[in-house]
Amino acid sequence: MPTSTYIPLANLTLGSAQSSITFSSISGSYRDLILVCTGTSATGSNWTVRPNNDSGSNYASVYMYGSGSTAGTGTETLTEAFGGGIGTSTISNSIFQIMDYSATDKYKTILNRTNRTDDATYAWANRWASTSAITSLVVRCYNGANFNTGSTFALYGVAA
Amino acid sequence: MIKSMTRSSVLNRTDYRSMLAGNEAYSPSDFELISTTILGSAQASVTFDVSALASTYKHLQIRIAAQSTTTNDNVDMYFNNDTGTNYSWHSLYATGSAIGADYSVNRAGIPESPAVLASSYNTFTACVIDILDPFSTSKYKTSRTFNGRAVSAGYYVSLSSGNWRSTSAITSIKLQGRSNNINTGSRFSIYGLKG
Repeated sequence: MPTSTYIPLANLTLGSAQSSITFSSISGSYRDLILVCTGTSATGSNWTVRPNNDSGSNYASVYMYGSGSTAGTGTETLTEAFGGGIGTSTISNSIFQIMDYSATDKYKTILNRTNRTDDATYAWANRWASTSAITSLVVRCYNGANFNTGSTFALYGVAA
Repeated sequence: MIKSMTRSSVLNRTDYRSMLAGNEAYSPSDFELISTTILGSAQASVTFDVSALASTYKHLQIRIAAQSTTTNDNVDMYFNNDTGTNYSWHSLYATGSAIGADYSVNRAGIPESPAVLASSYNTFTACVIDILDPFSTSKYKTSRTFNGRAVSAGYYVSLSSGNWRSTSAITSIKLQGRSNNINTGSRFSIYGLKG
């Protein structure tokens, strides 16, 4: 019997600027999580997520982007999983696909697509080197800048 | 379907004509999980039988987390077990040190479904494949794929599109390791989107 899925778990629109968003007590009853973000920030940066608020050096990332005049690629080994650019005026849309988030027998791979018309379109792949089930997500700007009022964050569960 | 009865709906003696009185209306999603396969042992391929889905769904999505067994490999996607050179494919990809494009026409199968690493790298490639209008009998079939993994031994991210030159409705989807088996723990889920 098919299972109706793509279940909205949480939905937040910022009424005031804040530096991070936390989704906590995430149920382990789904297969994947999808995080849809739109917004701007106080200063230009990158969208990032930290599973279980892990700020250790447990991440690897690869990206590609196209700006209309330039295409590029690079890697990062920092303290969070990355998405593309967020700016100060033009809305950036960023979607994270967090696969097998509740599995305890594998590291987690997180895909991201980000689009910002005054900047570039991006595709990222990340690995969080932990076999822990993801029970919370912290969303923040890489440089710690505030997300501006009106920025939105929606978390969905996709059935197992 | 009644999810629960509220106290007020019982005690206020209000005449409700709806069986959902007092309950939030249940609105089923149009995006449905059809099946999930998690490999308990390494195997050469995974096949989804979608022959009975044409009357229910407009599009399909396959979500994958997979790795190979012994060496890096590719998982190729075939429709209706057609192994002829009836497919085309384009890709935009990056490795962290190089960005490029690739394509092939008149090939057997659609590659990067996903591009997988050997199990020794302890990294599963994530992959989302959208198959648009799979049950149409008036058009060739188009797929789009986003896949990637991040580990120093094999950074890779790609966006690709595939084409199957057949107007037959898709009845089966086979995802097959090109050179090796697909490893234990790899997960393949298929979803239907109503239209």
